[in-house]
Amino acid sequence: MRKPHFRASTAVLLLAAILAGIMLFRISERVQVAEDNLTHMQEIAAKESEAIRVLRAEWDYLNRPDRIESLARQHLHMDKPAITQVMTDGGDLPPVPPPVETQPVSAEPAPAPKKPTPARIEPRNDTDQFNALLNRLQPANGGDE
Amino acid sequence: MNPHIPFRKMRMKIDGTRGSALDMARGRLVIVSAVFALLYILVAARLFDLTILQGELQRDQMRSAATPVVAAEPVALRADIVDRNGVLLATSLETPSLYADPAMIASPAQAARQLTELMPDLRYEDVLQKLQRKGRFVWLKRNLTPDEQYKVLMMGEPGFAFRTERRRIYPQGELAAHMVGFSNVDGGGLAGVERSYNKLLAAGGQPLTLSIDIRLQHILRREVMAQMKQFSGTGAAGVVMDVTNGEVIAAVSLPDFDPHAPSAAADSEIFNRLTLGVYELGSTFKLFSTAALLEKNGGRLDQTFDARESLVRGRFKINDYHAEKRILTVPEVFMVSSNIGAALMGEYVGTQGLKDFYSDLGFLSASPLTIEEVGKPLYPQPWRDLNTLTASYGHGIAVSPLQLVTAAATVLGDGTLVTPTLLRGGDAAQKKHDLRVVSPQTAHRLRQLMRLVVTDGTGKSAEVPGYRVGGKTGTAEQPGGRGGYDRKKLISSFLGVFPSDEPRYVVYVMVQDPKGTAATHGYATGGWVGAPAVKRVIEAAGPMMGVKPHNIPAAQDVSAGLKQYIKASAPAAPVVKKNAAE
Repeated sequence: MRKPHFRASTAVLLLAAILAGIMLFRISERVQVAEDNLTHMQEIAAKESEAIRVLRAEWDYLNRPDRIESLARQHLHMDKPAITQVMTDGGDLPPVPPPVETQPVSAEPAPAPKKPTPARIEPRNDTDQFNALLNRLQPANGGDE
Repeated sequence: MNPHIPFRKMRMKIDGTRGSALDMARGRLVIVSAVFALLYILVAARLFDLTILQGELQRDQMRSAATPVVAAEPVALRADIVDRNGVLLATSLETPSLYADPAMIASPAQAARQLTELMPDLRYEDVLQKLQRKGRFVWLKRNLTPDEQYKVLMMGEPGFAFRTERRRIYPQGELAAHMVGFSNVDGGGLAGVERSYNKLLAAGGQPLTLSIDIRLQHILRREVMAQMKQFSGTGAAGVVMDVTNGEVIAAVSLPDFDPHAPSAAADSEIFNRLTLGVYELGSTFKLFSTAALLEKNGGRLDQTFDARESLVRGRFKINDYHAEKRILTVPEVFMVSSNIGAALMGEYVGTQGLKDFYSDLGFLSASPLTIEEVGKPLYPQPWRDLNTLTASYGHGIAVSPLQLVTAAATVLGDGTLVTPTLLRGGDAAQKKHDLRVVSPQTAHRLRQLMRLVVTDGTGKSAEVPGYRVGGKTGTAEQPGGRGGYDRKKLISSFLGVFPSDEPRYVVYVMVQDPKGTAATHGYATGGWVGAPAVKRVIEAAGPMMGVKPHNIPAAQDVSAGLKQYIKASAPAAPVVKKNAAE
């Protein structure tokens, strides 16, 4: 009678140990997968936020006031408003909207998009000008030429 | 025991005359095999360590290390500089640069062709030549855009790879170059805000918001540039300042430079004429001598000054260049810009009084603006009575244009000291002053006088309907020749304020060495050079800054109260004479 009793408890303990081992293994496996995922997402986020920085710089480069001015003159045939075109009977002007509060790029990492690569945009002449600006810069370090 | 039996047998068998030699040989064998066994155990242990222990450990370490690296990256990047509306003035970018490992490229011709199709600015021959080199590393193109990088990656050429490089980009180019400054390749600020806030910027994080508005900066630069070109000036400067808090909304020094390549710029381009240059700015100083007078005489405008004859003090003689040759009241002195009148005002105030007043306005020390390019004023030491006379009309004392504008904002606003700042909302160096320099009554009188110059005096061409512009012309001769002044080397300027009944902004335009043109009948004075530029700046900037134009009848104009002090014979047109200091 003693022997089977002893064996049963051993079996239970053994089973529990195996179960715990399997669970531990699965959890550690899941943690590994999750960590891999996290690293991957963070890489994407870092890449995206860097891409946003570049695009923001390009946006502000393309929106330089002198460029907008010459484009408006060239394509829309617009010119500086004469002061006679400005309403002088005060009070009729709409209130000035508050300055645009732009989100600083560095403040928060952008959420990772579903697709890591954004839709491609065909390069245009203006974009090439920004590239030209980038290309003109001297390298910060390294390089054999 | 069994394993030991053959050993014993051997021992028994070999036991004999050569036993000792064999013993020794066996002993050596035992030692050698023990060493081998130990080495094998070491190898096995090391294998276990590498594959199981360290393999797992390292992966964990790599993973835990990966997180802070990604998170820390934005901190390491130098912080952006933005204008008051959040438009980028300077930013740091991490850009991929494309390099090739020629040894890994199977078909250089094909790779070169594909790459040049993607990037038309690369020449096929150059790329091919690079790809056929012997080395393991060759730059193909620096600073790709994300789009270009994506395309190159899609090519799938194993020999192409990227290396990340950091760049300081100034999207607005030369537009605000003198104020924003520039930095070297290592990211250290060398000039302007980049230099004075170097520590803050290097720490990364939130962008630094300047008080500059890029739209106004553009307007000011456009107009100052136009005047400089029209009058063939050698340099120019301009500034728009908020009267209420000293914020510099726009600041221009010409000629300027591309902050991406400051080493290619000439010294005269790098030189900041607005804050570093100190000049004798001439008649615009009459604003301050008049302020000193009004402070002393309790705001009386009917005090008269004898301008019938040149003022002679010792060997020195002060002339009026558009002489009225009569006795002038305070508004008349200001309106016709009489040097004699201003000198007599200075004399009335007294040497110590005027010097103290100029000191209160900050003319005797460098501007507290938070960039390092601020010039120290030049003033006579010791300050004699004669210097008081010349300082009253802006000669013999040299200050930077920014100091003049700051002082003007002080006396034209509510009369309390204005401190200039380049940061939106001010900075630590800018304390909230309740330091009164002139009384509100004096400030009001000065606004009236400024308005009078535009309605009836030398600054008529600065008038903008609805904006009640006030102003003061300045035409100063620059020192030159034999220790004297060169009548042909002028600094022509105009100090404008609008709206003059409730000042919001001071606008200042100055051109160095202007030469008269046919269109201006050979004149190159402040009324011809500075005033039209200030007018155009106010015309374009006023609506943009939300200042409502408001036409009021002449009888209600802020200057109307001064008309009683003006004789009818006062000149109706801007009085300008060739090669004349106003």
